[in-house]
Amino acid sequence: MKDLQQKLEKVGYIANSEMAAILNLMQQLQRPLLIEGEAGVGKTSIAQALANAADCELIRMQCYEGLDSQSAVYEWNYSKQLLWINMQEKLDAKKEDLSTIFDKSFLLERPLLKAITQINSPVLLIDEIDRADEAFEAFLLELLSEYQITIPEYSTINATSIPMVILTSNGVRHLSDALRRRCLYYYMPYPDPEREMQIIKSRVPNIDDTLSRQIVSFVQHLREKDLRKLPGVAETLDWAMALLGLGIKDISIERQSILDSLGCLLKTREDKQLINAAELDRLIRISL
Amino acid sequence: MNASSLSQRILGFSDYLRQQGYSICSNDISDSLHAISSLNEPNKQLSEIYFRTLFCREASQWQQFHQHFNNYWLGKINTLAIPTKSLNINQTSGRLSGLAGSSQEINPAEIDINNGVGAGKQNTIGKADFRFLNDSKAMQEAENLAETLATQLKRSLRRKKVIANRGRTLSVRHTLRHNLSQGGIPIKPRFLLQTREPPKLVVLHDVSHSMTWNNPLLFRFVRGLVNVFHNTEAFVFHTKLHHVTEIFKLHSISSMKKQLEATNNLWLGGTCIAQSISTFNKDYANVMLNKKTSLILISDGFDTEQPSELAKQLKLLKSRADKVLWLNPMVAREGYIEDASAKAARPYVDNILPAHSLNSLREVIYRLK
Repeated sequence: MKDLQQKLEKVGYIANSEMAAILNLMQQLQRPLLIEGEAGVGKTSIAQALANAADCELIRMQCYEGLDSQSAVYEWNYSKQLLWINMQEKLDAKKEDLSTIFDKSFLLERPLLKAITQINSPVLLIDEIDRADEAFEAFLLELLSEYQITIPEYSTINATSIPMVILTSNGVRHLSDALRRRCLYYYMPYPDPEREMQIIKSRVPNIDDTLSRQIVSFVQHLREKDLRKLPGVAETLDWAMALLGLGIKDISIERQSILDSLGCLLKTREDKQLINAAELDRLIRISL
Repeated sequence: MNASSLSQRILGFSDYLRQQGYSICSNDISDSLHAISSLNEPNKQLSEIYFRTLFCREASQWQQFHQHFNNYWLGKINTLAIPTKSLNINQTSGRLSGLAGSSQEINPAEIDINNGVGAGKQNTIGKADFRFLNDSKAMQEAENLAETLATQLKRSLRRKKVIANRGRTLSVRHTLRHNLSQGGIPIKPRFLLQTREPPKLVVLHDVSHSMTWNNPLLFRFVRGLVNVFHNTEAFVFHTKLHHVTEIFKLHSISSMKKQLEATNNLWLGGTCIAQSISTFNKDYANVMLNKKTSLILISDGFDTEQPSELAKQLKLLKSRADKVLWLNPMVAREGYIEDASAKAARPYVDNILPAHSLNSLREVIYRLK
């Protein structure tokens, strides 16, 4: 477990011991992992980091409304099939020969099929599964439990290697129990101050200790506010880089610059109105 | 702790969690035993992580898990269910490490199970009248379900492209696929049918004193509608009308409740339905209503004004909207007699539907499809 934690740290992902243990268990049990959490807490980047740490390919599938099996799993190469039929006609082939158009050579692999036909286990990231339709979610069940895909015109394709599957969800809609039952579950919270400090130091190495501590404290206090969109780790990093770029070494000194740079953390008009100059002063005061 | 007693403890733990509303299947139990067995030495922290990731299905379970874990394994409550069956799992390693089992084993007859929502909870809660959902856990469950119902409506109305034999837009891919047997000559063209538009909804929600029992769940239902259909508008009224769409869009439910309470100075007061609808007709109807809009009025119909005034305002609403649905929590309840307000309103509403339980809200969704 510690070994995995160190590997992840080397590739720039600061995982806590819980995260590392769960990734370890996922590999051990060969079960998919469903990660839920607010946007920007690092759900997607864990898959990238795991692929880098395990030195394997990352196959990513971004889900969206209307995603179908043709885009996600496989598609027949129709133009190739037509050319082949025309060619067979010219050669006066028998009707039985036409059945070969549903052969592996006419199959176009999409991410899911690609993931189970690799020699070395890849990391398969099914990102924002809650954006896909229920029908597609049902289609995934076979893959997630049996690691196989059934193509009606062809046959069932079994996995040559078991991929490490990570599904992420932002809770746009409720996922089915059938899908949840097949997965391990991890709810990724916002990082605690200590871990967020480590993340900043890892991603923005030039930053001063005092400034990074102030940034973390400020963001942590900001997350206690009733904002429409709470700042995630990505926003903290953006803000840290912005402050570094502005040459700020202490957030209590240049209030106006801090106020101007809050766009990195606050993403809606209502949130910007909520954090006015007086509130900013208060937040800075308690963050020092 | 030997293999048999460990498996019994794990079975007991899974039983205990099931009583708390977790849905744990046999795969999870065997995987948990496998995972715990693989530990070189007893490790409470790691065991908790393993059980948590295997047994939890959603965020709320994840957040409550630590307490359940401590309750069971550290014996903080007398809630140890001892299973009668043992696990039938091959122990290949032959070495098992138990947890620090300090919980005091007790007679199953003495088990004090928390009166939560047990098996088949969704059906039970679905049928239950909102007035009788007093248990906070059941209430929370029902509120979540109410919001899920609204999401289901979106799913059923989601824009779909349907493949058909006739239509306006030719689907080249499906045409080719369908005509492979003709050598690719598009003898039988395939078309994409036009997409369906999501509905535009306007909700007028009575929050007067007489609606107190029904409102927490109906709020969640309306909040669900507002969040899944971006062009939904929501209003609450008692003696005055308040536009609350933005409050329903707040991500935190507690802050939604706080802001709703803060917005309405006369919260839980009397009811002026006709006057509130009149305000809506005057100030908002021009912009918000058209012949594609469904208007949902949520009220028990107890009005302090003349029924004729209500009829007049509903007639105006009906002339502008496509559909007017009245959700009345009183309709399906025993002893309900249609009062003068309901009688006056009937000609100007498409349906008066019950809204006293989650199942009745399902019916509403069916009507909106």
